[in-house]
Amino acid sequence: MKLNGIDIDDTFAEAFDMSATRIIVTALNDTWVMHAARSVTGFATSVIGCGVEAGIERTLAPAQTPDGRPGVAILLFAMSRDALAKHVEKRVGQCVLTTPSSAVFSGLDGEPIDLGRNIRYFGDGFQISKLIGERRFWRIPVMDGEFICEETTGRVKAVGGGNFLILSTSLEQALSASEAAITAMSKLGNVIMPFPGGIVRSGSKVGSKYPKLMASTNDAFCPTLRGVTNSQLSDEIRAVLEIVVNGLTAADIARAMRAGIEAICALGADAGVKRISAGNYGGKLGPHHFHLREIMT
Amino acid sequence: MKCVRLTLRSPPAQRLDMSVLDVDMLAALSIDEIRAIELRCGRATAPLDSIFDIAVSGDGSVRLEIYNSDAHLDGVGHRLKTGTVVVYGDAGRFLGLEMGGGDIHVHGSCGDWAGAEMTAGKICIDANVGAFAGSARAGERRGMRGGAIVIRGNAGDRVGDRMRRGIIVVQGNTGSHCASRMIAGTIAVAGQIGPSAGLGMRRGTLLLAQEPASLPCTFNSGGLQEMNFLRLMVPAIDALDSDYVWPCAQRTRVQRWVGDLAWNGYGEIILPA
Repeated sequence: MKLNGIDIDDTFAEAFDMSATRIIVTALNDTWVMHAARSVTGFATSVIGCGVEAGIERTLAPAQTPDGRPGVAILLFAMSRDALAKHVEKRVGQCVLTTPSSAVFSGLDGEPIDLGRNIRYFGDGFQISKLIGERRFWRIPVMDGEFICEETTGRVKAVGGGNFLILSTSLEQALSASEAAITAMSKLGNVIMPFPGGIVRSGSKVGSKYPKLMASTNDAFCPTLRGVTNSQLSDEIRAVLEIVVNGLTAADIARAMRAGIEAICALGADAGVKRISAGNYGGKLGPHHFHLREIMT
Repeated sequence: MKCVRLTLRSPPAQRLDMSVLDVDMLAALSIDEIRAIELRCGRATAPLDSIFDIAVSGDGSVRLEIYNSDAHLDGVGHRLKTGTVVVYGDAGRFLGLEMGGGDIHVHGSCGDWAGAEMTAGKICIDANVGAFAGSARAGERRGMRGGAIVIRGNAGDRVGDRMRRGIIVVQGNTGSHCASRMIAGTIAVAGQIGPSAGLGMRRGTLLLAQEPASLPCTFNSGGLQEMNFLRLMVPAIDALDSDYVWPCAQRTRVQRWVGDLAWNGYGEIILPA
């Protein structure tokens, strides 16, 4: 299958079940919202080392937030409910509570997990509860006034690990094409691309020659290992980048993958990208298989 | 919807106990069974149809309508859970006592203890209420524990006495001891409050749209503050379909008083700055 001169491999991306939540962070203005959002989503690229994968889903206008201030919607994904709850609480406690003027709210209906339930104890007994409708909020006194946080947020089952690989004749062209894909994918809701700038260059395979490592470099797609390992790269390919996408549903991931691949293919083969492929583990790792050619038809 | 219409034939000479008229139970009763419900009036009892003209129509969840209502009708909407009660005229004491859901609308005034010890649902009173709205009855430790009361007129003394949770909105004035012994929750008053507001207050919020004539000496000024929770609370009050207007809807800068310090309390009285 070729789209605008770019080969679409007959393969699939393999994704797995995760737990996810959405939180809404607000602050006095856009600057401080983004400070909080970048902090809470920092060091959250992969559950392998970070425990949680997180990203900014979208920015919110004041009319879209519970307190009428500028905000962002943030999605966080983890491998289990307990891991998600633990990391949400840690990150909100260390990154949002500490940001001047910020507040945090649940952005998703689902099984309740703690958001501010334990963070409230930072108030040392001076915290105040407000039950508005069915939602409980905590007012925690801090040095710039009060930190408002909702008691719980909703957890849902989600899907993580959707991906596709961009095989290009140069790193510059691979990056340029990947950026176009991220721009297109970022316009969609319910998904995040958790790696820096949404793009990862260190795609991994399961396992390693070192028994203690659960993942190691994806040697089949490393240009420098062509001729050394069972490479899947032709001679003209000099750089491969990967876009990993997590979504609230498999349909959200498929939609985002399609938008990203379409954006790359719209550039044409002359822009440097020659092939689109995907990472999978033979279908043994995750139950969700995103076949590239099915997605693009 | 099953609509049960009761039209009071003449004002009762004694107080009429309407608390036995379980609105949720009416859904399963035939018109004959409804007619036979015995109400206590003073020391005597009388069947419902000897006091009211009764009409029943429809099926399903119950809407109870009381016409020509009178201030002698006590206990209307007692322990209401799901239905709707509409009172055309005045209601007596204990309106919506221990109510756990549903809606009550009184197109008139009502007596003392409106919404006392209610846990959920909404009561809207178009005119005035007596004392102890949203409070605890004598001997009870906790008053209103959820839901909302909207009072479009004035309220008597002790609004929200021992209130534990929920919202009370008073569009007019209140009597003395508003929010006395309050444990938590929110009371918003658009008019003036009487003396001794917040006496014995432990926690909770008394939101005043106007500067009060006086506050107890056991409240300390917290000075001017930014209260961002008002960005959540004021829209919640607006959503109750009251005409309460917080004078700084877009602004959160307020004057805050904290007390009752004589009770080691951490309640707050908030005024627009």
